[in-house]
Amino acid sequence: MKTFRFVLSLVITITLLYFLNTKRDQIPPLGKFMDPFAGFWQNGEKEGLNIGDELSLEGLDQPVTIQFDDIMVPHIFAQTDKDLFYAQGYITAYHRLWQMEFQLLATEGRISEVIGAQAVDFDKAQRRKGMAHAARLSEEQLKKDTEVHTLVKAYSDGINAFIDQIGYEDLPIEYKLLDYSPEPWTVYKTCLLLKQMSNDLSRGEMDLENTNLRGALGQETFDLLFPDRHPGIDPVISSGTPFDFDPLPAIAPDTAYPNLRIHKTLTNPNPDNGSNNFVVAGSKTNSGNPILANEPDLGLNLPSIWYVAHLNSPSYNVFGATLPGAPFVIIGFNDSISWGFTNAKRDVVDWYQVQFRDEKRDEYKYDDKWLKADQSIETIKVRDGDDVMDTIIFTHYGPVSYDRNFMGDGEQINFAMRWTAHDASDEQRTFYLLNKAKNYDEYVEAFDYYVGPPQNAAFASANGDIALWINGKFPIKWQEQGKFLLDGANSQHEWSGFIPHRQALHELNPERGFVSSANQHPADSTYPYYSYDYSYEYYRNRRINDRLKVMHNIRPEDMMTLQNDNYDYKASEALPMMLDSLDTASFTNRERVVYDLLRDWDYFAEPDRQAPAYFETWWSLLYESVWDEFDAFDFAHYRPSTYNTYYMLRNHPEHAYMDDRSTPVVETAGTLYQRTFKQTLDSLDNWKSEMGMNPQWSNYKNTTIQHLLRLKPFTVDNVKIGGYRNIVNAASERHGPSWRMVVEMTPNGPNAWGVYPGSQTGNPGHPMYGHMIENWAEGEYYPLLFMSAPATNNERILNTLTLQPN
Amino acid sequence: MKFIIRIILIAALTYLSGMFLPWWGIAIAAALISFLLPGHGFNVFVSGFLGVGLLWMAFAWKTDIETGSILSEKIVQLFPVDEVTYLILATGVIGGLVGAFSGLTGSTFRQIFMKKKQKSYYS
Repeated sequence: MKTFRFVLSLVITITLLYFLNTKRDQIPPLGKFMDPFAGFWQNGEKEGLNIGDELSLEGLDQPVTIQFDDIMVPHIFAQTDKDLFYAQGYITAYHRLWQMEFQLLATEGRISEVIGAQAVDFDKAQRRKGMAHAARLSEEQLKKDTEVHTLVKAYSDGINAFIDQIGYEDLPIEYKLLDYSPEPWTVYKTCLLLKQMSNDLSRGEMDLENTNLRGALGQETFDLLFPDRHPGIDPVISSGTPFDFDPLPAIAPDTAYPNLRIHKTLTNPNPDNGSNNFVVAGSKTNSGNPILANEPDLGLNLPSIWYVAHLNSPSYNVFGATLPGAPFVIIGFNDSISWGFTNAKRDVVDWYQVQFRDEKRDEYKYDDKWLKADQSIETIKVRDGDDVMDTIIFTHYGPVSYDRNFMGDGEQINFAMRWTAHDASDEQRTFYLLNKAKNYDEYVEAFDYYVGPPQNAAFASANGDIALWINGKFPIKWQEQGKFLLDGANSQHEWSGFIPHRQALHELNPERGFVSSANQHPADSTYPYYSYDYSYEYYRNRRINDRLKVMHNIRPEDMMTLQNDNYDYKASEALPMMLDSLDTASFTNRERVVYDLLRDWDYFAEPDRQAPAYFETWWSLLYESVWDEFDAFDFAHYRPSTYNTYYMLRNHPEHAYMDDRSTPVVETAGTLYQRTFKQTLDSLDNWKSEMGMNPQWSNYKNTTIQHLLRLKPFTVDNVKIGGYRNIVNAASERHGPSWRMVVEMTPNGPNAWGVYPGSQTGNPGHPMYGHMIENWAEGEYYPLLFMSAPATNNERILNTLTLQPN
Repeated sequence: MKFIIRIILIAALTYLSGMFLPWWGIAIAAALISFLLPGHGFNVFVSGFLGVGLLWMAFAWKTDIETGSILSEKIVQLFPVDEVTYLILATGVIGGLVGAFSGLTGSTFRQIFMKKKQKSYYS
């Protein structure tokens, strides 16, 4: 009896311990998680820095001083470069360890290991983009570049020093919720992170959709609905810039493109991933010094994509936004130069139809030969489930992403991906050089090593130069090469080479006194190389350039105002045309009120206005009803751009596409305006009664800075900010300015300001979590504290941490 | 008296284990003390529950006050309760349950041992 009692209570105890130590569905292991000594309670932090003032670390050569200012930017002062980047890795991990590792797991296609079977398709897609292979090639290349490799390795060692030092109680809360542990960081992971940036920024394309649409619509309609460019575009490199070089040839072969219908395609990166940068020369500024402004518009997430740091050693004094997981400053300034990026959209991904010799898929056709294909067997580990295997075939183009095992629904569908990001590259060398560049020539040289993602790199220097280079590795293409699916068996369909860096598009000290870019077309039609992208910007660029042309005596505050400009260029063009077509005589009272509201609107999408909510709803209903024909397509497709929709409404109001196919009558643009105006009023009335408030723009669009795990309590929603996509202040629902920076380059050093929608700490349990969001929304900036030695008496320095070699 | 002493000792050892062992150290703490101070099943069960439960609750409460509920107010939204107080109580109950059953295990183990000893003494 007594033995039985003991055995029974032992079994209950062990079962209970097991149960409370195991994660089940969304529920963390409750015993482990709730333990007040090591569980989530330990992730609550007090104000400020909770790390002590002195730490002893293995792997440092000399003591390193890190001072934290009032927005928790670390100012790192090291005596050697190796120690500097070691400390950068350490302190970035201290604030952002979970995020940097989770983003990497996503890139590697290993999310299933953490969250289970629901992520298997995502993981497969990630692996089929060939980024892991590309990162291995880049790591090999980096190993040959010993100076830079040493620093990237030091950064990685710094991250690992942090990981080695912490126990379960110190793990970021997300590890505890999902119940897993960090792995050691490696140089390979940093290489992979840069490939992930390419995935976000340069992988966008519509080659297969274009192939489908051209087949379905015919060439003429396709060209009308999806033109490469419109007259009067305002390109990055100002029109009239001479291109005085001999372009390398690209000759279109006299062969047909493959013509297929494809049903599913890989998800494109969000087309709202864009950015603005603009630099004004001293001739246009109040002080006579050039001023640079930049903001990359990316997904709005917490923890933030950027981590701001100030790096100091005998060879560096550089400040700016860093990517957690990679050393160096990506967007920033030193005492001589400042630089900023926008995405240089240009199709650098092409698809090749591959013909395998037989079922074994180990050889594929290339002209009159058979080439050998490689295989990579991928094992996707699944939490609480069986491993999933996937075989990826590699050709000399790249991975055969679409095949019988993935998104291919026929034996004909074997498409290999050719992407510049697949090539070995050493972008780290670019940042290694750029971070300490002293002048224009050194800035240009830094990008000799740069492959991608292609960027419009704006530049200003303390000695007064302003410039913009479109940097990246761009294939030389014949007209429309790679706009559609290409034939992998025909060697003439291959890229013939790359545009030499010194022939890249650029401007130095242009006469107009400024340079700018906003993801628009790179150049006007006189540029001798073919360039194509399916989603060039038509609005932000024109607004910025319109303003810069008329602005004089510019002060840094004026640059900030322009970064936060909410002028809705799209509305200014489309709305008068839409309103003019309404039958005002037959208005009801409700219609009259909204009509007047829109008529009186000055096109500024300010957060407290209601007009933008009415206009945007009206525009999207109109857009839907113009392109309703596309809903019937059962193949992969996309719809014409916003700008081309406006262009069609204006210039072809009676085109067949204006007809709403669900009604017996034949509609023209005029009928669509009338009908969608009424629908807009209904839609907004519904919204009002559902939400119980007026549709003020910021409430209506609900800009949300979302936690990477989409956990509501760690997310900040309904941010009171104006702007929208196609507006300079590009804050849409889930996208927007991810780091606003303004830098005035004076001969005595830079004056700089910055803000981003988040916080240095990534810990939702820190009082400062997300603390900059409010100022960001209001267009307020923080002065950036640039110094060349540790401060001894500066009221903005709140903590000093010394890292001692062990 | 033994009841109170057992609670205090379990709480003290739970605190020490929290410093050095993973969370399941509390099971060892409650089992060990109950092995050394065995008692009637119900008494041991309750003292294990209170010894670990109260300490966990108190420590969670203290941490929460020190950090101004900064995180618990967010975590509570992930659970089907709506007040941080319940989260603190739940912490106590979870720790308490483990303490209770492991205490009982320690005590019943000792009792097997004691009976054998008694038998051998008299025979």
